[in-house]
Amino acid sequence: MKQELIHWLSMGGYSTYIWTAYGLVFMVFAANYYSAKRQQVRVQKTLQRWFSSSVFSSLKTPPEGV
Amino acid sequence: MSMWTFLYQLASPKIFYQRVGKMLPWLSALALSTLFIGLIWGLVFAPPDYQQGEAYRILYVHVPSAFLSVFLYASMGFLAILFLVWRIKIAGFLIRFVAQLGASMAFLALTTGSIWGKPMWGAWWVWDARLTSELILFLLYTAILATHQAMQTEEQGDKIVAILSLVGLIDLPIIHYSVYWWNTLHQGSSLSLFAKPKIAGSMLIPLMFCLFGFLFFCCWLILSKARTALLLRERQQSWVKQVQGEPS
Repeated sequence: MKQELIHWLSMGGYSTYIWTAYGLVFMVFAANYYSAKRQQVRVQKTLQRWFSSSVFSSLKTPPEGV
Repeated sequence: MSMWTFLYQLASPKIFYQRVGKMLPWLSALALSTLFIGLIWGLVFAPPDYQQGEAYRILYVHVPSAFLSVFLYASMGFLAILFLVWRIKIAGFLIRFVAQLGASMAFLALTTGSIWGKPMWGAWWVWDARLTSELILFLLYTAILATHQAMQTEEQGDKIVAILSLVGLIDLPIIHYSVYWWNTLHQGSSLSLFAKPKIAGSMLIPLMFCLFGFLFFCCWLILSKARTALLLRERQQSWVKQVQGEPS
């Protein structure tokens, strides 16, 4: 079982290339997911400020930066 | 309800927000399950290639990212037409979120291709027609994103990126036909919409799973990001205040 796993992980001698490529894909996917989650938190906070502040709600132009 | 009615109603920001909210859990489940099946199948159960051995397994991430980089750019062109010709504002609004994922896919296509190229061609990079046109696509994506960021208002940004997206469409046929027009190191297409696939069924099925996995993942994040940003843009509307505080 362990031998089989080691054999599979070695990918016929191409393990460095294959696992680097898959690792890169994982990192890019995770970064995109994380940026979407971070954006959600940021927008929620901005909107809470916007609705709670009478100064913001009387403005016609939304604040920049989100 | 017909497909066209459904799409037409999505042009309303409020309906877009509600419908997309219902679609997101399904899209995420589809993305994760197809990716899981495709990657496990491709890495464990698919047979090795007779020429490239195990190294060909990079195909399961390289082909989907390369396909998505082109497909997403074509979608941006379609959205740009909807925005500029039919004045559907939400289409223009969506372009930059498609560009964000498109840039990620083009980056992955270039890097995974480079990692695959080293053991197969003996070089990380060659100025081959396919590679160069894909690099131009990546630069187009980054230029579009930077331009949107540089504009004073988001509406102004939407218009400029719609025009830029249309101009950049010229690169898509160049990428596709580069392997036929020029004598390139890059191999021809393994998949085609109109011809029989040149790849064995045992390798093709996991590839299709990965392709759909990447597609669902991109759709999920594009719609999720756009839905969140829409709240901010529409904050003057009464429906935004209503949905504030509801679980997203």
